[in-house]
Amino acid sequence: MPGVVGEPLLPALRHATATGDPGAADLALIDALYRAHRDELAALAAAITLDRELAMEVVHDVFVGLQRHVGNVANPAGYLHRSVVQRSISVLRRRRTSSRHPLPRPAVVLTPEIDETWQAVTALPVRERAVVVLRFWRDLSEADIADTLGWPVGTVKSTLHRALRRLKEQLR
Amino acid sequence: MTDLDSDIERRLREVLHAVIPHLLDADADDAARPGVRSSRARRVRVLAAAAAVALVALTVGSLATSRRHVEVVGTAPPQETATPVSVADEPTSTTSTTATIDPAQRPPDADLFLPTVLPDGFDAGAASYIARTDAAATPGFWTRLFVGTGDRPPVLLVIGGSEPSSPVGEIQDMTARSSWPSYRLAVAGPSGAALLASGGLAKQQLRALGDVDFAAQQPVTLPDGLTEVPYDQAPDTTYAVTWNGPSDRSVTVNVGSSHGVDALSNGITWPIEVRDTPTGQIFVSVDESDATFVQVGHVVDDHVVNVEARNLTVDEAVAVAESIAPTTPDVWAGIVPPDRTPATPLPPMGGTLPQRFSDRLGALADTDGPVASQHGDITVSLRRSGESDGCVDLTFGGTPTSRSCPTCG
Repeated sequence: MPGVVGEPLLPALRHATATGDPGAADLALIDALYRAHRDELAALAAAITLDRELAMEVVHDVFVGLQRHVGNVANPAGYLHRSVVQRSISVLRRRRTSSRHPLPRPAVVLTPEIDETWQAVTALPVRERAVVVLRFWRDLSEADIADTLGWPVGTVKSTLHRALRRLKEQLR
Repeated sequence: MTDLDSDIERRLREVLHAVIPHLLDADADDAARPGVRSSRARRVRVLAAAAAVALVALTVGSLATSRRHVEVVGTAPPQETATPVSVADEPTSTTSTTATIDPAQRPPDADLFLPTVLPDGFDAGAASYIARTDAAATPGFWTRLFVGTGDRPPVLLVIGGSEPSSPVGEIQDMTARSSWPSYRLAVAGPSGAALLASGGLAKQQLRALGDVDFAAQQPVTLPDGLTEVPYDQAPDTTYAVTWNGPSDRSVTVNVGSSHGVDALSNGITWPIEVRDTPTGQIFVSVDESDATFVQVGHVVDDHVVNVEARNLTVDEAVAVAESIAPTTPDVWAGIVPPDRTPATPLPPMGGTLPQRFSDRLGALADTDGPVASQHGDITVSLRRSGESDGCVDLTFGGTPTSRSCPTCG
């Protein structure tokens, strides 16, 4: 099987493969998706969880989840993004935010304005941070955010409104 | 959108695109996590801001045994120093920001539920409290909402969770900084810390609630006509059916027993009307920044129907909610995926199914065909499970609509 899907393959996915034996075509698809989207998904999870290792756990868990359902998922990339966001929020709500593996300081030269703004983003409640990231990094519409999060559009609107107001107060 | 809004959004785009792609770079300096590293000073500022709105939690035993309440005046800016206010002192002219709801669409006798947007203290304070209880992964986090009666119904929002470092027995009078009459925050609870955020209740009334065991998650009897409505500040689970009609008209219905009246959540930002209809209390909010968006919450027993309507009048959206809400368990089963049980059930609400719903259920059970109602050019058809697909059909002006439903496709 590894000869079919190639390396690297997620360790967890490899384990799942050993026990679940999905079709080779499905595995090839998952592997291709992993290669194509891992970095972006990990960054998305990291932006929400503010925890590097937790972000990778989220991404891996989501890929393992996809492995179970890949035959029934019409839009795997959309499924992955939606699942990463929802799981990032979910795991953070269940864990203490005292990060076990804190995010590194971004390897980018930060101007004072960028630094201050990023600090304000990290201080947002997780739900508000997720909406802000989806809106202004992923450039999703409010309707698309609602679809991604599984929330009513009104909840997205009010959450985004609160986040922006909080940021304005912080950055004033 | 103001210049400040545009500036914030520009900065966010710039910052997120600059930072997020590099969050996982291997050569990054591991010195610290942004926002935490900095941030002893920032956290102090955040905590100071939180303190300024007096989001305090009480340790249970202290309150239960020593009911000492302390007026908090030092945490507010001098010009906003709290002023003791009695019920008689409450201002009544609070309708200045409700003009976004077209008066022509509002029945003349409509009660104004929340007279205006809630004060900054409520929003930031409650959100900060929630954020901190979330951050602590408080297992017992919960919210309960109670509303009263009358032209200016009092509102009581109770937020539960632990906050052991907070002072004991504080009540802050927010009236001076609030456009909402008699707005106060306090914390009480014989068996668990709880935050009480109140509109329309006098301080003495609020203090009296310190004996109520909200944290036990049992039905409680409150004075002043306060009754509980399902509410969840942060809904996790929704069940959605969307009907897309012509001319960008659409209706999305979210059904669940765990996510409360979402219109009330919006009410933290936007004005809310409450309407008493033959099928129960209906809450209406209109997006202040997007008048084509109307949201209606309809409480039916322990279920809630949230209707999000696009390009419908308020009356049409209310009528759709009213038509859909009091329906049969069979139709509920058609809308709500049976394998998706709410993760966090609401606390027991007490009471029984209102008679008007029982009557409606009986009438529907005796009906062989679909039950239809007409609202303008919108037809709502309720079909019993087994006769069709167990769902609700909406028709806009006779034009077939596309429907997206988790269970029916």
